[in-house]
Amino acid sequence: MIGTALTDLGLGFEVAFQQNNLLFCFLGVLFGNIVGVLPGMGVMAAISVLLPLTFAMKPVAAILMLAGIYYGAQYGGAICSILLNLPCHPPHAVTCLDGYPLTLQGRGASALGITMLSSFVGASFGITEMIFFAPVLVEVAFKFGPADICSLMLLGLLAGSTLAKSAPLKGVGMTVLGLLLGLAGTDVNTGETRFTFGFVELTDGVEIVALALGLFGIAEFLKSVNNVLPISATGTVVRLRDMVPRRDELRRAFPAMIRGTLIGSMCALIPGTGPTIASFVAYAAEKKISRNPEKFGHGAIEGVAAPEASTHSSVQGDFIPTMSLGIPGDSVMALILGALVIQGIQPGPQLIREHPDLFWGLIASFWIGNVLLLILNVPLIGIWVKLLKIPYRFLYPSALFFICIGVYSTTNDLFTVGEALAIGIGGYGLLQLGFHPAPILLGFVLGPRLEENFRRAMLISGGKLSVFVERPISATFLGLAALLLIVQVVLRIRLGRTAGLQDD
Amino acid sequence: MKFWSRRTGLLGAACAAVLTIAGGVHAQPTYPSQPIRIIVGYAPGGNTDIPARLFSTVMAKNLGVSIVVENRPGASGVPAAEFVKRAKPDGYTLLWATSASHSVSVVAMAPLPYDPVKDFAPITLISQDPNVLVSGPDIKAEGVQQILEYLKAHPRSPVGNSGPATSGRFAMELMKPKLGVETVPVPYKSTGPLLTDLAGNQIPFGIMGASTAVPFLKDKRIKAYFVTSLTRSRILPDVPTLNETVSPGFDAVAWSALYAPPGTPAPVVAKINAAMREAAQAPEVKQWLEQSGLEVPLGTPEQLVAFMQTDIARWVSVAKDNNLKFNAGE
Repeated sequence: MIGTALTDLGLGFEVAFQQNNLLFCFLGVLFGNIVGVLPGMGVMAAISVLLPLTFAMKPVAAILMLAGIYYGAQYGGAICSILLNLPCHPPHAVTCLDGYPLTLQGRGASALGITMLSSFVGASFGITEMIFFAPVLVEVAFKFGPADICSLMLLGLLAGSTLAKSAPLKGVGMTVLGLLLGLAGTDVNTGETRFTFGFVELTDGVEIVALALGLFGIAEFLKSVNNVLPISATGTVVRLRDMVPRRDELRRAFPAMIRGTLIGSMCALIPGTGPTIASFVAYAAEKKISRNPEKFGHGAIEGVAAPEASTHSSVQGDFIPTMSLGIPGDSVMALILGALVIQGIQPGPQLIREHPDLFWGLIASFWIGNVLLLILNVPLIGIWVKLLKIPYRFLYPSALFFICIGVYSTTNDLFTVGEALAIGIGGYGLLQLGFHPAPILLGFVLGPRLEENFRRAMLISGGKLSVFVERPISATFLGLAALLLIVQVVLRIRLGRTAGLQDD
Repeated sequence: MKFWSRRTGLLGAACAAVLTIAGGVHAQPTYPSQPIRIIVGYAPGGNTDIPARLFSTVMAKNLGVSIVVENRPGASGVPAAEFVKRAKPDGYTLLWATSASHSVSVVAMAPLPYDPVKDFAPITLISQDPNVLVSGPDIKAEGVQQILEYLKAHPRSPVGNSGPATSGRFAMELMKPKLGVETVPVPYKSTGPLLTDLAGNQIPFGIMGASTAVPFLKDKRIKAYFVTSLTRSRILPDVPTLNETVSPGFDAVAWSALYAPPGTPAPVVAKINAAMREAAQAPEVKQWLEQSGLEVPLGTPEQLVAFMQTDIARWVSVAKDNNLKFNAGE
């Protein structure tokens, strides 16, 4: 298996290095990187704008370019998260939590350097794993039934409530709020609309981009009016030396990168988990494993390295089941597959056999693209950091402007911009009350999947709840969830007891 | 000191009034003379979006204006349809709709914010996709008779479908009065996860458009038993129809059609209709049609209306017979 994979890769590199293909790969990642930096500016919008261009191109070049836009955008996404506390896309929301404090401490440039490195490591290792284990892993994906996914989502929700910087109860409250927001829309089983308040635009639920940018962008901006935190001056004069991270930072970040990569690759396989979930899980895992969890939220470099590596690994990994089964993991993949259909190529399990040059050329181009992105981005870090020198009264309104355009581009409907605004105002209220919005996003993403899979599992099993413990995968996840709960309770009791002892 | 005198203000208002009237009067150029927007109620890259883009690229060349596909995804295309209903009936905003928003939704998403027959100017029916019943590899049955026996022996078997407002889901309901087969619909948000679950034997049966099932069928990951159209699908020539075997007249297909806002002048409709028929002859469109196996019964607006009315009546009677209740609106 490894032998054939290597020869196929050889073919892939041959294809990818052809001048035409290389050019379009570069154009794709460049465009993607730029699009990624602009908040909310969807990869979807960018790809659909370029879609008609691909009609005239050869299939290989077309898909190399479109794919380049997709993973290139992930590189740009972290920049605003770290420097401005504004996530450009939902997967980068967690990066803000530790990235922005680092900027405030004047280490924004080095944080960006680590991010670029994590992105590269995550993407490259992610691709490598996927290549060699893809056939096996795809079969694993088939073993996941609705009951298993439901239990996994439950585990995720429980673990995710620890993302809160503040009291756990507040974290749970925010997760529940996210669950409620996720309920809005049409129930897939009965066709009934819930929480739409008569708005036909809400029949498909709240738009996630509006939620993420409203909560993390607009709310934060509202909060910082007249209240802007000063950025340490040392961070704005950037020399190449500053971009190179300190040795101890690298030493701590590197294992985090590896762990993040592994988590991201796993998430790429499990149906229904995307880069957003991957980044949340990686962050939560780091916090749990770390010896000093209280550092998180105040500039722990692991909290930046792991989610970024995870996001990139998951994004690259997403291509594998998509290309090998023809089933897109999310709407961007669907669009890329659509571009193939227009070219006359039928995506599906036989794609690898019928068009090996396309498949392996794409895989090879991932490496090439990531190297190109690294070369592009590292020198640019200095320029990005200079962004901070722009007075806030120009910077923030410009960012808001881009947010509005980006949010509008997701549905071509002004209503979505209104959603973002309303959520932003609500989020501002929450921030003032001392709640942190990160778990809302988690509840919003995981909740509907939990419900959908729970009901589907029940429909298929004919109403038997025991299916959740009878299936081995589901039982494992439920067991882990129970373990998590027990550990939390025991820790609390112990803390209470030692505190009680100390009082004596 | 007043900023401006009352007289200047009145003069200004008069000028503005004249200008607005003047704006409405100009020579009507022949259609089309501006870019045309085709609204698609699904995300780009999907099964509805792709043919819209293919057709519009060819039509743009033939008509000499640019045609832009605008995606307004969500809720089975209903908000997109409502948007076009309210647009100006000048032929520059069109709707590429499917049976989900203009037929099945009459039942599945009642009350609709529009009447599919009265609130749109029909242009032409575009494509028809039969539904095919498939199962994972573990089911031990072959052919129509055996699978019907299996379904009768295992009442209330779960059958996955690709959405609550799809013709597939309702085709299964139609089987209850016509074939005495009762199944439990298990809706998915799209076909992809359904295919994965079928191949992994997580769910025993599924019903979906034939064009979406073909890749997995070719790879032998799922098995097909019958299609729900009147004639066999071109890409599944070995799969019998219910019509020819056990239930003559059984017809339940997913379809797509082109509409314009109500009140669009007849000559404009005729021109678009002709452009669509011309575009269907283009090689790239033909190639895609071959691949997906869709039937392309491009016809007249009157034919579209007649077809719609039969289709809607079918679903309404199914819902009534099976006592199905949906409540999609406030």
